[in-house]
Amino acid sequence: MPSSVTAPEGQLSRRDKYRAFILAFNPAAHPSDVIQSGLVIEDLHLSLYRNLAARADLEPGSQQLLVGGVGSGKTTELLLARRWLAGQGLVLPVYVDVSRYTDLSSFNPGALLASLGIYLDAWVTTDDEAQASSGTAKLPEIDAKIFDFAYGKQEMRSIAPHDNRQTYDLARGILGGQITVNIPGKLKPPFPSLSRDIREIQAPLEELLAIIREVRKDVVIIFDGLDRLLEAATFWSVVHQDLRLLRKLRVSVIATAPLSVLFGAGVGQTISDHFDRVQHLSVIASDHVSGLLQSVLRKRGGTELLHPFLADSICDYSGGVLRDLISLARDAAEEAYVSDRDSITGADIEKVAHQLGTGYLRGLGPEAISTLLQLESSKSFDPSQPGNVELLLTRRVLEYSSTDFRVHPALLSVIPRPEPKRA
Amino acid sequence: MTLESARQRAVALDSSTHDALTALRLEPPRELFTHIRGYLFRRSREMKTENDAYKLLSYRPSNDLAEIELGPMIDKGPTPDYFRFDSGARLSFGLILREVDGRSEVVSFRYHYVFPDGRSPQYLRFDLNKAPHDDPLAEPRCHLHPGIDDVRIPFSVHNPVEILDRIFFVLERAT
Amino acid sequence: MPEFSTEPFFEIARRLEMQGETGWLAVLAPVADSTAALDQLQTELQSILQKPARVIQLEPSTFEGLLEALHQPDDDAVILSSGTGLKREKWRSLDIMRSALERKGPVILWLATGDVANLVEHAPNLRSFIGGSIFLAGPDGGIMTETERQERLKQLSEHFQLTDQEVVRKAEVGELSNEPEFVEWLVLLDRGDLV
Repeated sequence: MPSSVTAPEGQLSRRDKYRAFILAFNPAAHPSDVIQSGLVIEDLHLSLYRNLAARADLEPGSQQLLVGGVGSGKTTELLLARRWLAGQGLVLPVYVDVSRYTDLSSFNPGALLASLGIYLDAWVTTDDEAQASSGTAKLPEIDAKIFDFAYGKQEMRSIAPHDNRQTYDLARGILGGQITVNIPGKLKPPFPSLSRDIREIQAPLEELLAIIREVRKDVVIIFDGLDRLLEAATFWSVVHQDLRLLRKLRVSVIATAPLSVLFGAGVGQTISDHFDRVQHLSVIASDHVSGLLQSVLRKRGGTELLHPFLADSICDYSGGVLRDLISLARDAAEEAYVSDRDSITGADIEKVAHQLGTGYLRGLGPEAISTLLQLESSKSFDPSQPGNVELLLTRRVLEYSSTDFRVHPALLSVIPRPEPKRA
Repeated sequence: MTLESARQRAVALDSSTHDALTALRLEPPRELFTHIRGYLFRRSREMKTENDAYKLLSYRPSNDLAEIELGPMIDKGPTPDYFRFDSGARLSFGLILREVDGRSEVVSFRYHYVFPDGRSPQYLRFDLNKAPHDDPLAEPRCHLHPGIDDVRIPFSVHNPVEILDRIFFVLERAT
Repeated sequence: MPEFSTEPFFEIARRLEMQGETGWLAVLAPVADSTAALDQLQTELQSILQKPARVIQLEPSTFEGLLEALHQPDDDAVILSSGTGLKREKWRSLDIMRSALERKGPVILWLATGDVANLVEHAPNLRSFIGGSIFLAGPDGGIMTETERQERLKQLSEHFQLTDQEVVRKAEVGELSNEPEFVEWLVLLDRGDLV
């Protein structure tokens, strides 16, 4: 193709077509923007979000987990749940991704409660109905407690007489004195870690909830981002104190959780037992008949540059991981564009699937490769075996149900296979 | 006498051209190449005609000199190697830089803009010679050919990107 | 072992430009001259994307420091450099804070070759954003090929009816025109000493 080409008058340029396609297939786009743009198929997971939302609404204080692998569409389901709850007009749904505001990798119980407190405080302050409530007289005091808990405060503390820092306070004529101590908050990274009494937040939260419950039936909080605490034990250590208090406050909770809660040995069962419901968001199998994955591509305008036959190929290579599906479509379009093609070809898809698979292959040792080849040939995979849950967490192995595990197809296309034995 | 005065003024103009060139210091050659390529890429995006700046523009270092080239050396009619405009015009250019203390000094350039068929003049060409001519009245060191090879009108020293500005935002818009 | 695609920085920047504002990809730094390569990437990004491009070192960085760096401003291009490689705990921490890393402008992970495995093993959420957009830093391209050089010399020779040797001889005795084509001719012949 020459280095310069003129498009006929009135026809969308090649670049414009590709750009529109690539913009619709952005794996890093926030799901709220994607929902807003009308690019989401809402019943992709059989309206799972409605089931979660309805239970949270009907059973105040209930706690539900949404467990899914990376890129499975959890945030989309949660945002749809929030929208559904808001649409009912009765409860106040609160969506919070705590990992956006604080370092969850540093053990910091109370962070979930702090973020809830900040949100509720802001809502009460700006809602006209809530403002009319009698409880708002105490709002400044509630504000202060919430903010101190969340962001920390300074306190004057008395120095004991034997303390070396004691001073002689001439004005007061006493021996002793005070020092200023910084008390870190829950939403700031902890300084040398201090154990805080999580109960400090209970009273101000109760007061806020009382105000809100005068104007709304109840509060449902949706915690996102917690699935990134990949190890079940870590997840539990971060959330369990907060969840216990939320149960006491009868606030319904829907939270994401890592796959290790369902699979793998260890505390998973203990965690699951705490919750009223643990919903698994499994991978969607690529099925050319039902065409669910194909419908995801179509919804975003996939037919513009993609022949249906090639759309099947992208769906197959994605393994049903929704974000990989989006990535592959976008990358294939990019590849076709920089190669001066007028539409996506099979060669473009092969190349980008190879790229994706090469990424998944990196870091795999011989033992892991052997496990994957074994899974491919015998369909047997025990997630409780050491090392296997990591294969799930890193999406080298995909879970289509609690018993149906498969190697990611893009990885399969590049995985080194042993030389066939010569006769 | 008038001709002699004209020649003296032409010499003075060439001298100020030399001063302007001495004062003009640009980013290092490779960086300037990146910027020009990016410039052409962005202009191409604003047009209906697709031009692949990555394929069209080339760079060649040679000791302390570097050349940046687009299109054929000699214009002998339309080929795909030019930068093509929506108006049907085409552009080729060559730029020679010398790297001095991590910056670029402009040694010479030629920008050849050919109007679409049937226009008069047929082309405009901006040239910077590497040194003054014996007859700077006939051939100023930095000059413009208004479609006639033997006519050279003095042209002030420009940053190479500024010449592209005049081509894209003045010439092409008027074409 | 299969390898990632090699892409020159111009193409990497062009891909980001096509992706619109929110794009994520990873580039594997060359083993040699990686600092110079990083500078070139930065220049290319600024040129193509028409926005500033900053380099942020992931180590040492705190959660708050990184949050501030990525969001003030939040719409320029940012290259997150892992230097010679990050420890497992750091990758885990970055992965957990993926939401906090989300921003309007594009993000490019600049990785030591060996660090890709760590990204995949310990930061699967970040890897998911990048997908298959992991590229080896390729030669920047745009360098005139020998074929192109010969073609240009041929054009000049045919037009001016002079051989390369004649041009050099004329330049040596001060008889060569000062016009730009002849300057380019000498540079094509690597006789910049006569310019």
